[in-house]
Parts: sequence; C-alpha cells; structure tokens
Amino acid sequence: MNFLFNLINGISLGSVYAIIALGYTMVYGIAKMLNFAHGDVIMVGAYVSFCATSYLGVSPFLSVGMAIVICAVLGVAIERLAYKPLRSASSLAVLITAIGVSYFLQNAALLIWGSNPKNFSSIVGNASIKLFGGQLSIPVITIVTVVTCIVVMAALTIFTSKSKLGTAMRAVSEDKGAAQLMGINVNTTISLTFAIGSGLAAVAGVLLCSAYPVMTPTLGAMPGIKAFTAAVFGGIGSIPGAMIGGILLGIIENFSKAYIDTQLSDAIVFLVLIVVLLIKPDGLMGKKQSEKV
Amino acid sequence: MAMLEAHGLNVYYGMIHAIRDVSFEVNEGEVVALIGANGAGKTTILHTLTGLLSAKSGKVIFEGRDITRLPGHAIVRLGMGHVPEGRRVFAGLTVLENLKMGAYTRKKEEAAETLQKVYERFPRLEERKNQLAGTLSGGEQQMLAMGRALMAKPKILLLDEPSMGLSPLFVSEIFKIIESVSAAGTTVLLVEQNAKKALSIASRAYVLETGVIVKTGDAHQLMDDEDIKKAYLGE
Repeated sequence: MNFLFNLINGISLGSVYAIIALGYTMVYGIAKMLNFAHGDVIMVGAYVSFCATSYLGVSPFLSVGMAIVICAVLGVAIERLAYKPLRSASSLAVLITAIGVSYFLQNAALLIWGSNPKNFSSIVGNASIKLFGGQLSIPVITIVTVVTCIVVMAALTIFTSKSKLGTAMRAVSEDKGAAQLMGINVNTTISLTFAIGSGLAAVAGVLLCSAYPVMTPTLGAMPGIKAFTAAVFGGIGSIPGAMIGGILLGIIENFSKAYIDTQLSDAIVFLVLIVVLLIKPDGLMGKKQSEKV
Repeated sequence: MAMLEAHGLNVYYGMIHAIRDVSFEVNEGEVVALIGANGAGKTTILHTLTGLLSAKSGKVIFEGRDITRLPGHAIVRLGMGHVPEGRRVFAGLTVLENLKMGAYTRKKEEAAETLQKVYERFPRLEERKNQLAGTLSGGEQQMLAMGRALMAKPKILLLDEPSMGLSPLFVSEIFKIIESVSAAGTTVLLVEQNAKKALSIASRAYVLETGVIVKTGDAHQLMDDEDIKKAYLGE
C-alpha cells in the first residue's frame, strides 16, 4: 500500500514537472533557446493566483484563469523585450539573458511580495479520497494534478498535430526562413509559443503550491531546473518526451525520498539523467540531430 | 510595366558587398533565367526579393507596388512564390502538411481546389501524401517544394537551383514541369547553375558575376555568345 501511495504521489509530482517541461520544450523547439526564466513564471503564476483569492476574493477557479492570462502576457513580453532583440546573437548571449530575466523576476517578486513565506491555500481544499477501507488516502489535489496533466497533454498534442496554427508552429521550429516563405508570421508564432508555455507555467505554479503550500519568490527555481532536466531526459523539443520525462522524474524523485534518502533524492534524480544521457544523448524520445553543413 | 522590377539593389553580408547595383525586370508571362557561377549572388538576389534578406539600398517593385520594406510573410500574399535553394521542405511534416503550409495564406476551400491541381501535376505527391517529407528522394522533395509554392497560387514563381543534386532524368523532368507551369500562365524567374538547361527554356536571361549583372539579353542569343559558351556552357 505504501508503494502505491508513493507511486501515485510520484506521478502527481511528475505531472507538475511535465507541465513545466512542456513550456521548456516548446520554446526550445521553436526559438532554439533555453528559457531559464521559465521556472520563475511558475512563481508569478502562483503569486497571482494567491493574490486574486486572498485580496480580491475571487474564486480559486477564476484565480487560475487570471494567473494563466497574466503569465501568458508576461511570457510574450519577456520574449519581445529580452529575447527577440538577440535572435541573431550567439546562443550564449541568449542564455545569459535568460538567467538575467530569471533573477529579475525573482527580485521583482521580492519587492512586491516580500521575502516572508506566504501560505498558499490549495485551490481544491485539503480533502482526501480514501481507498481500500481507509488504508490508502489520496489528496484530491494529487488527482486533479494528474488529470490536468493528461488534459493539457492531449490538448497540446491535438493542437500541434491537427490544427493549422499548430502545424505552422512545427514548420517554424524546423525552418524559419521556409516558414516565412509560406506566409507564416514567424514573430507571431514565436509569441504564441511563449504565451502557451507561460500559461502552462501558471497552471503548474498553482498545482505545485496547492500540494506544497509554502510560497517564496524563489519557489520556481528548483522545479524549473528539474522540469528542464525532465525535458532533456525525455528529449528536448519533443512534446511526448517532456511528458514522459516529467513523470519518470517525479516517480524517481519520490521513490528515492521514500526508500533511499530524502536528502539524496535530488542527487539521484540528476544521476539518472546523466546515465540516460550517456546511453541516449538525445534523450528518451529525442530525434537524432544531424548538423547542417 | 514589368511585373517584377529590381532597381539598383545593394545587399551586404556584414562587411561583404554581395550584390552591387543590380537592376532587372521580369515581364508577365516570361521565363527569365538568372545564371552565374557558385557564389555570384543569385540566391542572395532571390532572398532579397522575398524578404528573407533586406537590401541596403535599391527597390523591389512588384506589380507597381514597392515591396522592398514589406515583411517577408506578407510578400507571398501578393502572389510571389519562392522555391528556395536546397528545397527546404519541412522534413518532419507529412507531404500533405507541407502542401497545406504552402496554402497558409489562403482559404480552406480555395486551397482544396489547388491541391487537386498540384496532385494532377505531381501524382507522386498524392501517392505519398501521408509520408514524412524527409523520407522522400531528392527529386520528390523538389517536386514537393514546387508543389508547396504552387499551393499559394503565385503569379510569379522564383525557382532557386531546382536541378541541384538531381539525377539527369529528374533534371529533365523538373525542367519539363517548369515549362508547363509557365505555359499555365505563371511567370517564372529561374536561378540556375545549369546554364544550358536554363537558357533552353528561358525567354531572356541575366548573367551575374560576383554580385554584378554583366550581361543580359535574349536567351537564344546568349547561348551563342562566345564568352557565355566558354564560361557557362563548357564549350
């Protein structure tokens, strides 16, 4: 029963990583950059939802909607102001800028909300579902998280594979010049990708803080890094890869905590990443990248 | 009035002055060839016409409208199709998805009609419509790239080295297709290293050497030109 409990919790934590990893992987796929500020967008999403419920008194559900919209706008603004001017610059310059944006968001949050931890109240309350005659008690938020992840994944897969806009997105990620020749507005497509990724980050932020309610301005940093790991683990640029990578990472982390050592769990997670990359350098679902000459 | 005009184009790659004062025109219904050696600037000119590169000075006029500063994605809507060098099909998209992207700017119903015409012209694309474009052979990819550009129903088609890397059999087939596209009423601007083939189907031609147009004239006259024969036709 303990095993099942840990597994379900692992899947739930992994679902959050997967939703964050989707943002990393989509942005990488289209803009060929690692948006290290992505983790901090999660934090902004959580704080927006928190403020909306605590100060404006809106319903938790509506607060999530507000967080999605504000984070989507924030994501587009970050791309326009910080990354777009560097589109033809070296990838190193963009990477450093992304780290700069990350610190900027953290410090802005520190100014606005202060450094004292705030207590996020779960959007679905603290109810649990009891199974097997009370032997297994699963918090509702755990189930909500997993279901949300599945819904997000299905919606994104359908969007990118079936819709005209989604196909255009894939075209832009393959060849911006050729996509432009088709009449696709590359800038708009990149903005849309940032909007979707950041909107998802808001969802992840709310889910994360519903399960782990202590909020600080740096709350997004660690999940951000782990989700990035998950994206690489699954094969960066691949949407199903982000999903599988995220969930596996969550399960590994939770099992390490339960059966090996709480302190060591992060080390084990990254150890697994290293081993996977040694065996499969493109990640689990990654495509073989051939350099163009 | 010419359909497409370039006036005194100057294009730079950083410090390198790649295109120098290039002017030319393409009239409606013509097949105009732009020939020259590797690195002469042929592709650069096409990229400047469709907004993939921007000229430092000079103008591009399409149907009387100055499109020099128009964003690239807006140019295709005006009726300018560009089949880029190296085909650049979307390898991870299916053949059908590639064709649909070609009609990105058009309404669904109109595109469906054009799709049938493209399939008639390239039956092989219909056979392979659900295959990933990256799995096609070079010749098939060239057909896909042309079909994709035709999906936008362009008034003028810019073709960049359509014969590059293809077997002789495919080269002849591609040139036949270009002739039939032209016969169907589409104006063609053809960039080629294969000068012989290009001149054989073109009405007029421009010869480009290190970014400068050095010769122009009737395609058949150019074929008999001694300098051209020596430099480009290997005679």
